[in-house]
This record gives sequence, structure tokens and C-alpha cells, in this order.
Amino acid sequence: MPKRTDVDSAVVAVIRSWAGADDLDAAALALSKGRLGLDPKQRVALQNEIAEICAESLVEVIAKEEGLEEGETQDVMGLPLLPKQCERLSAWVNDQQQTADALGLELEAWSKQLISGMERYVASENGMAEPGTKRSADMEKARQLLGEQTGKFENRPELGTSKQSGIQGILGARAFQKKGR
Amino acid sequence: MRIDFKPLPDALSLLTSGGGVGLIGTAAKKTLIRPDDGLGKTFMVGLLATLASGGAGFWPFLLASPGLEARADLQAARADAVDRKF
Repeated sequence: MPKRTDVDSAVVAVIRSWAGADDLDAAALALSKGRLGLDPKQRVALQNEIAEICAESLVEVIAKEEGLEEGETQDVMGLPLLPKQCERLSAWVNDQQQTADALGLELEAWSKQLISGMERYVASENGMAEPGTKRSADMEKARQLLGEQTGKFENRPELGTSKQSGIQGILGARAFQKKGR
Repeated sequence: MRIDFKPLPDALSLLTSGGGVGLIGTAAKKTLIRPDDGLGKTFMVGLLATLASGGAGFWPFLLASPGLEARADLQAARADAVDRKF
């Protein structure tokens, strides 16, 4: 995939400081600080790029085979995942709160950005991920896990029904809980 | 006699008592929510039903703190993604 050259260099600098941090907590801090130095238009660009990178990292989390051991899988939103994959996935899900906070976004708004980011990532990667390949399958799994766009948490279909919205449902529930409603 | 609501044990007993994924939310509400229950309790039941529908085996991972290795894996994935992108 060709390198992006259309993104503001100040935004890229913040992204690099976020991705190059030693750990997730340091990354969130770098993102928060870096965002403050950007103007509103740059902040929107930052949100879009971070959402796309988070979507890509979700695919990578699903795809990573290193460290996986044979064993009993858990059903996670219709997909069988090994314990190590579950742990990596939960790290991703839990980190979205920090990322949303660092970007100054409500978690529910951020979860919608993630969906958009996933669509952009798939559109950009699509030419490289041939159907029937492991990469293509991993991308589809990540999309399935992330779920579909839904309305506000309060207005969604009855909880626990088959219309679950994947990780979106979990993030939406957390956003609802955080608001104390 | 007032019975204190303990969401986690009550949700666990719902999960182990059977019933399909699609019934968890309905069953949870009928069993655990009384008309005079507050919004906080209603929300907790709903949240647990949502998590349960994600796969009963997954939400212990979600509730526990991910290990350092899993967090490091995620940060490494991001770094790789940024290197590919810019």
C-alpha cells in the first residue's frame, strides 16, 4: 500500500508520538497532549486517522498467530476465539476508552468513528486483500466483531437480542454507564 | 424483607440456567427488574445482558485487566500500522 502523503505533517507527528509510545497509557497521554497543539481542522483529521489505525490494529489483533496455543475457543459475537485472542481483543476494547478520552470524544461518538475508520481501512486495503486469503478472512472477522452502526444506546433494540451490534454494543453500553443514565 | 440486588451473581445464575443468547435480555428483565427499580439497576441488568450476548466466555476477559503482553501486542500493532501508512 503506498504511503500517505496527504495528511498534515503536524497530525502525522502526533500520530507517530502516539504509536511510538512505550505502552498504551503513555500512548494515550501523548495523544492527549499532541491533540491540544492542533487546530480544530487538524483535530478532525487526527480523529479520522486514529480511527482508521485503530481499525487496522483490530484486524492485526485478530490476525496475529504468534503466541497462540491450541485450545478451547470462546464464542465471541459469533466467532470462535482462542484465549490469547480474547485477551488481545479485550486489550483493544478496553483501550478505546482511553483513546476516546485523549481525543476529547464521548465514547459513543468514538465508537461511530471506529466504524467509519474500519470502512475506510477496508476500502484502502481491499485491493491488497484478495478474497479467499487469510488476510481477507481476518478483515471480515474484525468487521463482524466491530459490528454495525446503531442508534443511541437508550433507543436500541432490546438488549440481549440477536440484533447485537458487536463491540459497538459494548462501547455503547460503557458510554451509557459513564454518563450515569 | 429487602433483597439486595447483586448483579454479578444474578447474571451468572441466568447464564448457567440455560436459555438462548437471544433470550438473555428478556429473561434478565423479567426476572430481575421490578416496576419500581431505578434506572441504575435497569441499566446494570441490560449491560450484563449485552456482555453476555457477546459470548459468555468473553466477558471475563473484558472485565479483567488485560495482561502486559496483550497490551504490548496492541501497541506493536499500532506502531506497525503507522509505519506502513506514513
